[in-house]
Amino acid sequence: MKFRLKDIEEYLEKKPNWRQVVKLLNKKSFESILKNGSIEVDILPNRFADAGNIIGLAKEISALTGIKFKLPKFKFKEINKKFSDYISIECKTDKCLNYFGRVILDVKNDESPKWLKEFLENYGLNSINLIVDLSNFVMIKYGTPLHVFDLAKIEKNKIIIREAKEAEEFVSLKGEIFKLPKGSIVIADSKKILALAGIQGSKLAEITLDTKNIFVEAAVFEPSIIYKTSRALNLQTEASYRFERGVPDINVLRALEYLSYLISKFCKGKIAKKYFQLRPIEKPKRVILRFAKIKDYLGFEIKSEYILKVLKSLNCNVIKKTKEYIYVETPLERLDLKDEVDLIEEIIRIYGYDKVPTRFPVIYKISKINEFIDFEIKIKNFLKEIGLNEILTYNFIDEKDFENFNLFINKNYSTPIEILNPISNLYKFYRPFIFINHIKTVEKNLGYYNWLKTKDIYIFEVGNVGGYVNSKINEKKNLCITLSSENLDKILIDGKSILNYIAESLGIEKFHISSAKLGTEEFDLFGFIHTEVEKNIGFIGLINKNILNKYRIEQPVLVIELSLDDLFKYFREEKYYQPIPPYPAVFRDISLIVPEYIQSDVIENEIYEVAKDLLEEIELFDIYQGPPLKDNEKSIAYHLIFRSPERTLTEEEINMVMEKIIKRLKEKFGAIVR
Amino acid sequence: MKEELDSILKEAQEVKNNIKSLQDLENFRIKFLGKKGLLKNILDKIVNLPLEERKELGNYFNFVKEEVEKIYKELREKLEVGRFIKFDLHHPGRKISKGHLHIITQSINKIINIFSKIGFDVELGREIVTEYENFDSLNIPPNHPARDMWSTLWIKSQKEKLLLRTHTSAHQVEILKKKNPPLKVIIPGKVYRHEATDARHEMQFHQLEGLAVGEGCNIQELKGIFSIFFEEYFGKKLEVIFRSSYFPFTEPSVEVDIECVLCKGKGCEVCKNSGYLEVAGAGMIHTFVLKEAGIDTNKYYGYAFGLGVERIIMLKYNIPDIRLFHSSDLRFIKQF
Repeated sequence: MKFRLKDIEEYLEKKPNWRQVVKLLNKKSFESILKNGSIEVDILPNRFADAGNIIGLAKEISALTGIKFKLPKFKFKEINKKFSDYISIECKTDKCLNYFGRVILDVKNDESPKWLKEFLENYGLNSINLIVDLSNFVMIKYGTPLHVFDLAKIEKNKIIIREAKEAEEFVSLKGEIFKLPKGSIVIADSKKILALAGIQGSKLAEITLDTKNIFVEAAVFEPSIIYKTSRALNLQTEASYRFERGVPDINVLRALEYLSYLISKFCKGKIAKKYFQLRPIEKPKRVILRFAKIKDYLGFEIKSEYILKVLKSLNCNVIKKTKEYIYVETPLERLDLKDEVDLIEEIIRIYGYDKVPTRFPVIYKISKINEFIDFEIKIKNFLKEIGLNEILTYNFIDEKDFENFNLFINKNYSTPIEILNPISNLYKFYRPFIFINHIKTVEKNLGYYNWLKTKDIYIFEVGNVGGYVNSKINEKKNLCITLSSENLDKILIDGKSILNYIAESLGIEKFHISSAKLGTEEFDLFGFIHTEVEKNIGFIGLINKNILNKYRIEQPVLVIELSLDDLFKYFREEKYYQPIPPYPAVFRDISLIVPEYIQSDVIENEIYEVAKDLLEEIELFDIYQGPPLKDNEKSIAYHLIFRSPERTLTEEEINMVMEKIIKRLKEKFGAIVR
Repeated sequence: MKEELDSILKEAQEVKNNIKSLQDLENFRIKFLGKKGLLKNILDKIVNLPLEERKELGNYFNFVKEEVEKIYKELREKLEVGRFIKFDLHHPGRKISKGHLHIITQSINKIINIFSKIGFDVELGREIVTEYENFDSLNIPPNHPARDMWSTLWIKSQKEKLLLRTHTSAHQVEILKKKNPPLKVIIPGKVYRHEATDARHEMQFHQLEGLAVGEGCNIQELKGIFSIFFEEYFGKKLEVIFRSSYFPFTEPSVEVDIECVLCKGKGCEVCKNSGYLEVAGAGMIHTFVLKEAGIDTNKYYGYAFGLGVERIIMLKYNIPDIRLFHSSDLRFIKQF
């Protein structure tokens, strides 16, 4: 909020050094800067009630600088007739926390004088007419929105404060019609709504230049109701902003008196005797402030004399002081001072954070390693070590992504997680998988070919994904690895190699691919990934060409997505020494031609079965399909490594085993050995 | 004639160092040891000498010839090795394409390491939380203007109101309940805001929550924690400044500034000539929050803080646009 310096100076006994004031405010109260004759202050939300106005800010400056605060005195006369001869007020809701009002007769409304127009312009308000302008003038000074009604427009001279019925209609100052949410507070007469309490008056009771007699309202409403109504109607006003943040009823009453004085002075109005008051003024809050607690919070002691001085500068009323504590009443306008901690904050900020020395932390115990985070860091490092790049994408997908992978998503979740108020349609769903974002990443980075100088995009990401499963949100952490290159064989073999590498790095013997499939709507090649324990922990898939076309990608994209939470369960970090085998190994290769449909792992199992314990390792090193082989044939070649823990194997022994293997493969698969 | 032999040996020893290639060596052989070479020439002369002289010079001739042959052999061994390894060591080598961890991962690892040195454990939380966790439990009731401090992405849900956490503070009560005081914990994580993005604002970014409850967890220590952390993170001692502020879940609340990393307080473009940078929010945990977690506020107190991870990375590495972090642009990723 921007204040003119001269407006604040009116309430201080001495003109302050403003540069000094800004420094103090910045450190101890609010961020602020000086700007040609004005000070711009970012009033904190909890202090708006007391300091978001000229008088309140002057009080704050007084507490910081020690310059005395002064409130100019004013006086006005009342006529003999009582306000109650002109108006009656009935309150039907406890959401109106307090309500005051005065009747002023025979006012002469007019255009505002130049000084008032200038004042309002400085505070960002438009001039309407003298009476309305004066009430705004008072609002800026006291922080309390006031409302003036034309008495002639109030049916039967009776005001009813009540809650609105569902969809009751309110006519705004601009003449727009709003349907009110049930429970909004309204100021009404027997026939119509005169004002939407705390937000805006109605055109139907508006002050005009012809207005003669007026009713001035000064009230406090339940802040949460004002917040709710103004948000529901999307109608935010200077008044609603203030009422949402709380308005002290003592200030409301002070402001009512000041405005009455101004109207009698500038509009020649006659003030009727006494004012309406719904409830007694709220009592000051009493707080016990313990010295020991201040010491706990601060780390060292502050002298009790200093604490007393600060409390007094803040207009706190000290009721009692002992060796252990001070018992105080906090000022009525400081709505934020309710508890001991609120006062501790006051003491410390005025004392000055810059005077608090730093101290080395107390260490209670050795920090525990979070095993999951440790695991996550390790797996990221494993992948980095083999040349993959870690990326981060937004955790959202758009409608098109969802349509493209609709079937696949629906197989995994009952419904996706939809954002109620997305920033744009690009971020409509919380992502069910990471890989969908990676397709876009591939597209994007292929566009950077000119800089990256490669079409090989090898990336990974760890992040959260989720969806509804049986009406409950299932949020989990996934790892996604995406490989794209012009060379299809390369990414397929690299993909499998990376899986082996992850398994080995994690201490899992091997990942298995189950129900490897060709051709679905989403994938040209697809398989679930599981461990020995048969649990499905992810999948590997080659994105369908038609889908890639939609993302304008012309080269194959392979994705592997694994549940990091599941992988963590299988992670074995303990390592023990294994004796180095004492006897040498014997190496043999075998190359076969088999029908295309026979899976490599089936052949491997068969070989293991024949060779029994003598076979230490089997490694596929070549697969080939194409001429001169027949259409339904493939050639497949393995390195076999034999070793016995008990003796050196002889050539004859291995030859015999090899013969047995060949025989079995011929019988079982009709394999031709080359 | 002996002099002639001496000068041949001397010459052979002298030209030895000029022989750089096999071609030079061949020229050397022809000149000294060839069929019409210098030595053969002398030998022809020696053969015609009287026996006595022939005997004497003959021995000397053999000595010189052996020496020259030794030189030739040495040179040949040296040069012939090079003949099979045809490699110019001036070759620039091939670029090995290494992998990269995202700068956020690297930085969070670093942050975790710093805090674990001063006794902080690490916890994680979910990204989708309840309205209670994100707001109510932190003294931010419904229909309160304080809620406007966090523009929220809400989730379509039938039962309780769910949202994408707007701050890692959403886990304060949960963690205070789970761990008994004394405790010191950091919680790193992704947070979300319903916000228009620009070079300084993101809808998705990372925060680091700090939470400490127990004897000595006071404002003095809080200042000490920041002082240590920033010195370790930026690699230089930086003044830490607390300014009074407001957060519903801390009381007292402070805004944490550090001396500008670049100009060290002198004023520059990055700190907008103020000399200081706003880097965190902090304060003493509000008694409301402690009570919500079932902690006896007469016995316990503590502090909490929240740090924007991208913000400090941008300062350290001079990154001008926060949107680069989630851009998945490999031209960015590969720089770190």
